[in-house]
Amino acid sequence: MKIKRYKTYLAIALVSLGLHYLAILLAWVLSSGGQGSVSIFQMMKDRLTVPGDAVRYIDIAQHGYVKEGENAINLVFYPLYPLLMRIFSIFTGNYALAGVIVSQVSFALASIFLYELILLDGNRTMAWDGVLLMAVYPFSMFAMGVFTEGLFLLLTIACLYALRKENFVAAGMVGFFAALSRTQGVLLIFPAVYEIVSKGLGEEKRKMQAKDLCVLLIPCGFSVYLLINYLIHGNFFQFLIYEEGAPWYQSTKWLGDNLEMHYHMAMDYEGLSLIIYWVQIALYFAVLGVMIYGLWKRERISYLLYGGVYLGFSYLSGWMISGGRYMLGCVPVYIILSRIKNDFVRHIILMLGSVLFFAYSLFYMMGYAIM
Amino acid sequence: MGKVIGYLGSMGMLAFISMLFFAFLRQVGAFSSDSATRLKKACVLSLLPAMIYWLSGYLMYCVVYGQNVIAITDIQALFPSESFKNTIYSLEAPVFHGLFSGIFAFVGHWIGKILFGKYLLGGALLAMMLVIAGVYLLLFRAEKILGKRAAVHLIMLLFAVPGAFFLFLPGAPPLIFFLLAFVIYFAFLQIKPIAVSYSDSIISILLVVLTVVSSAVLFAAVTGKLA
Repeated sequence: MKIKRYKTYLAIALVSLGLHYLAILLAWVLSSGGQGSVSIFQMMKDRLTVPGDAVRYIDIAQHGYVKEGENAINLVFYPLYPLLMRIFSIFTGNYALAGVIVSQVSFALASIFLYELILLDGNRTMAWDGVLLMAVYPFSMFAMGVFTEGLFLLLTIACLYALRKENFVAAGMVGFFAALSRTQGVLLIFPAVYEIVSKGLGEEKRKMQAKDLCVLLIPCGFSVYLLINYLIHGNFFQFLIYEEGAPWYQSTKWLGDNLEMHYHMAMDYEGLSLIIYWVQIALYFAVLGVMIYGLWKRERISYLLYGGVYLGFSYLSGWMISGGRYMLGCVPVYIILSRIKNDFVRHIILMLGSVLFFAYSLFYMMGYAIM
Repeated sequence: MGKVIGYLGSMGMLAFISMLFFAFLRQVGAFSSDSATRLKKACVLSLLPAMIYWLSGYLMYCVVYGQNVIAITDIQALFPSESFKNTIYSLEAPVFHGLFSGIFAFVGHWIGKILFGKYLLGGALLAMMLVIAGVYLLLFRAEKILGKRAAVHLIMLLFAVPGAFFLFLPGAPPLIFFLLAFVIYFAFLQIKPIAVSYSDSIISILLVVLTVVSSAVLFAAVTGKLA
């Protein structure tokens, strides 16, 4: 039984990573004609370890946070991922390679945890479909490179799994690290508290135990990040000041205003409209639709709560250009869609996901401004 | 078009939050299944007329002023009356012009603050919550006295009354409606059930006639003929 389980885990890891390598191979063949103007490894290095925030994570892993200079603004990036890069670089001798390994191993493990999480309330078919849905999410390519997505997915899904098993100690510990990997990690406190409160007030009338308080480790993770801000710059919220400035110009605005802004940006920047702005608008309504569908189908409320909070929080961001990447972390979407009973509908969604996954992976590997 | 997308996104999220909250209440048994059904009915009975009036008012405005349907400018332009403008201003900076409008503005202001400075949205949300709560209370009492079918008909006729659309605008009317419903809920506590029988056609005719007159009042409000 155990061997069979491990074989399944191996298959999940191979499929979830294999799909991405297949997309990379196809992208290389289509972009260079397979004629070797750029080797596939060079393409992977250029697109997985250099663009966007990757160089900043490498810098943090190498030099840590600095108080002055142009790299002082790296403080806006959370510390866990670059810390893991630094640790693994001892074995690889290369920070970028370490980052890629951390991301891809994390993504494989995340897929395994997602399989087990869905299996708790469903069957093997649903669990596999959930894994595939996450693998073919159109912007899942970011989980292959020097980005936090793979690690964040692993920690989020592991936390939700622990909550589902009522292991609040493990949930708190994993959530602590999730809150140290991305801002959205602290949002795991919502499903954590909900699980405890609803079990206490609902039919189970479960008595609260001292170890339930371990879920408070989740905001503690965020507090550690604030402490780092203070130790480096003497201001707990220095990261907010940096985020407001170049190159991010971040602010917090009502999500309706942000959606309106995305529309105007789509109209003003046609070249970016179908790879950033219309995508962000479509994703918002798609994810919201899935959450409302989940409510209708009486899915687990803690999942819906996390999904809704994650979506709302992400779209409060006033200058969002990475909405596609952010929504990769909205795990309840994969869980809810995997539980659609109608085979045809599920397969159509997988087909749609696969086409969009290939298209956006191709655009990303070809150097389009997908961030 | 951008504003349409923004409004749809905002409404969708607020609707999701509301539904999630009630799902939680249902899960922890705070609501009996009867209450949950009644609440769902109250939401539907309130939101659908509200949407009909808002869309109709907007359509009338676009036709009269030659406005492009998807080029929404400011939603407050729909009702060019001084009192409505004052309500909007008082949501941003609460002032006690009158007791009920003052209380409404104060609470609506704080809801707007939570919504990142969207005071009009906060006011609209408060108005809808008060109306839904009032309808819930009226339904509760009316179902006990008149029966479920007659209770629904009563609510529908209530929202067809000329001027009922003011209940769906920020201001004193939704608060007064809620308070009246609250009073009726307790005042009619001891009333015994009454057997009613009437033809559905009468209800339909009455509904249509009242709604037509109500639409005329709505048109007058949109075109500034109402103070």
